[in-house]
Amino acid sequence: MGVELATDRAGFHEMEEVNFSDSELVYHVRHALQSVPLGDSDSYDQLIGVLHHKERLAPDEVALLVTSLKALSGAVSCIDMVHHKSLLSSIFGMSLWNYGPDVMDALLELILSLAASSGNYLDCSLDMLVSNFMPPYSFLDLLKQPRGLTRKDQVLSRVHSTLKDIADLVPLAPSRLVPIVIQRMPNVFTKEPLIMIYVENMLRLEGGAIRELVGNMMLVALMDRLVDLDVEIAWEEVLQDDCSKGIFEMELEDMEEPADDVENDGGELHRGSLSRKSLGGNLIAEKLDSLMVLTFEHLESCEAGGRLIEVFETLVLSFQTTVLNAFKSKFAQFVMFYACALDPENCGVRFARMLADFFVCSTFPPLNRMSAVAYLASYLSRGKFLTASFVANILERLVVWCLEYCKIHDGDINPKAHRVFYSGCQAIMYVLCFRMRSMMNVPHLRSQLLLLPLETILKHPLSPLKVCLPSIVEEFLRQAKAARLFTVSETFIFSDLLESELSRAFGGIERLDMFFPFDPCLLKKCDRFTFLAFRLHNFFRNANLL
Amino acid sequence: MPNKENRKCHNPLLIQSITTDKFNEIFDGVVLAYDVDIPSKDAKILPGIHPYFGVRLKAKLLLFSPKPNMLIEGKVVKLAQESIHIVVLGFSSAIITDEEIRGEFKYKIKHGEGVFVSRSHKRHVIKVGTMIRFLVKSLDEEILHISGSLNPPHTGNILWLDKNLEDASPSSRSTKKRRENGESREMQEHDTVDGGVFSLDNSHQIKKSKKRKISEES
Repeated sequence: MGVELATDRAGFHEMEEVNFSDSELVYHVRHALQSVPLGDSDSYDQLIGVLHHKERLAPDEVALLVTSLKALSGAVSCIDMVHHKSLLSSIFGMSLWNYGPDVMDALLELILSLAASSGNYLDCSLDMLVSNFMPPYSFLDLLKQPRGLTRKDQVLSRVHSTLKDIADLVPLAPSRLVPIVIQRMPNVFTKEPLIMIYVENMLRLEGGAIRELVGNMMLVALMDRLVDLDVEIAWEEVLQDDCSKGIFEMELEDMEEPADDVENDGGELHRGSLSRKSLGGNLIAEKLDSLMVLTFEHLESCEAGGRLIEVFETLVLSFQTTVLNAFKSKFAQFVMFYACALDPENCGVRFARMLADFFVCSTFPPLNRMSAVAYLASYLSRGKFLTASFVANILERLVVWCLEYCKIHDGDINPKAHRVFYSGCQAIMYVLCFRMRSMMNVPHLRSQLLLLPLETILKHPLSPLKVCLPSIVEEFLRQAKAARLFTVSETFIFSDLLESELSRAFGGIERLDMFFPFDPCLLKKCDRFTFLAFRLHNFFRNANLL
Repeated sequence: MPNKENRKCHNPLLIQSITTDKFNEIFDGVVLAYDVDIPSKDAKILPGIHPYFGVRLKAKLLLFSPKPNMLIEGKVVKLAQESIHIVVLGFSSAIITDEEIRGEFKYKIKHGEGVFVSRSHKRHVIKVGTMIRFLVKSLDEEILHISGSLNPPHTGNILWLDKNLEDASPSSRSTKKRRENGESREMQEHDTVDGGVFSLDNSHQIKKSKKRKISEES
């Protein structure tokens, strides 16, 4: 293949108006490179000049660029880290987004050659590819246009196939890639479209050709980022100060439609209503919302590909180390919820069992155990996809644990000392508030329920009925009485109290007595995904329902 | 590598997987497999902030430790006029640049793909998929990347070499390192490392982790 070059274009002195073969071009480039340490940088500088052309290239400029890149690919063994610093930095600084497919292919061929030639260039090559996950700022507006989307597809498909090609030539490359991807992740304050496109690439790696080597870390890093965003959203924005409405206020009359922007006065837990103190204007919340939707869609494709179970294992581990260990997550846990909803028999069951295991294991710190059982209780109550009998079995496990605890401990009320116990009791009562009625309607579940030693536990001197959240206790007692499951001789009058001093005491600073992590998600876009899997309650305060 | 005539690793405990892809500084190589023998179950309590039990053991290690001027074998994964790219044992990469390919070999395009053909022996061909034997010039320990050479005379397509050279390729005797109770004894009988052939018999097929197949002698 010969190339004609226009005389008035920057090029090699020797190459004006001459046709050259590929190997001759490579020879010239090698010569240019080898001349640099000898003091002659003219051809070398011209070569760098060619690489810097990027704005609106005319066809012959494109041809020149392509030729130069291809010639460089053949001369990689002559490129020296010390003498050719500026050339290397020009190459690694090029953004694929600025060019058409011809230049992209030639540039990527060069990157591949560099990566495979020496350990010196491997990390830089990978870094260059990862930095091409995102377009330059100037390109952001174009992304919304069809032209921009085409370019995006051209760039990203090539970037990922080059990553695979590098992995084929250098098997250890993927392990070098992971820290680079993680380090280059945009922080929480980056513009949303850029974060989105970067995460898209991470998910593409998770599901792509080299997924066995990098997939896990991509997911873990993504979950960490979701948690980072979650932390940035203040609890005050999520909960309203006015807590006069109880936990069991009627949530929604019409359960069929997701209620968009339903006007409501107060009632922080009314679904779909982003009340005045809403998250609507919160940029961080919007980013989190969009990212979670991206994650949900990825989970769907994993499920379709039969991979959800292995992906879920990574999510569970990540959940245990980050979410369960660290803090009260506001929204990130819905990733788990959605995965469970996609595959209730495997993931759904696994999640509940993991949480139950965590709760009963005495080697874990008390706060983590309380957190785990709070997640469990909220999950069992809200997960519409969980069968009543499965819920009953998990409940039984909690009851057995509480019973054992009662037998060992003689003492009296002590919210702090027995806080794990109280959180377990509250969990049981909370779940029964949601599930009791449906369970009582199924004969074998009814008998299972009736056989539970609830009386022994709840009437024990440790007095969970006095310590647990009054609103939960009250609702539970009301339902239990109506179902003839359980009655107390003492009248518990709570005067519509949501919480009490004792409940605050057992909940501690973290207020784990008031933690219902799977309450309706206030992120609009996420909510649309999860609502179908979501169980709402519609029991009325004063009605006497069986 | 254990050679065919001189097998020492009969122990069924031999872990047949590549345990790590990292170059181990202590052992000066990548540990491919190990065979552990615990002579006594008596343990010592080692003092410290966290008490540990110390148990003495002997281990035989299978090490991948290419050194300059060793001959090594691997599979060609990419071939161009300027360079040949090779993968050794499925986890180590190697490159041979055109300056290191002896003049005997000429680059040609045959049936749409690039090949190197010997000028003196038309049947001696190197192309993508070929197992070749080459010389180690240097090793980048961090990414296990070898810089190699096809300059020496007995390098090239292994199949062809083994069939056609009277003073046959140095046999698969190998460099072994043994570590016994902290001592190290280097036994260097020949300076060859069988990169591609190390299955002793069918029952000892070493499998790679991460589901990559070992390059087998074709």
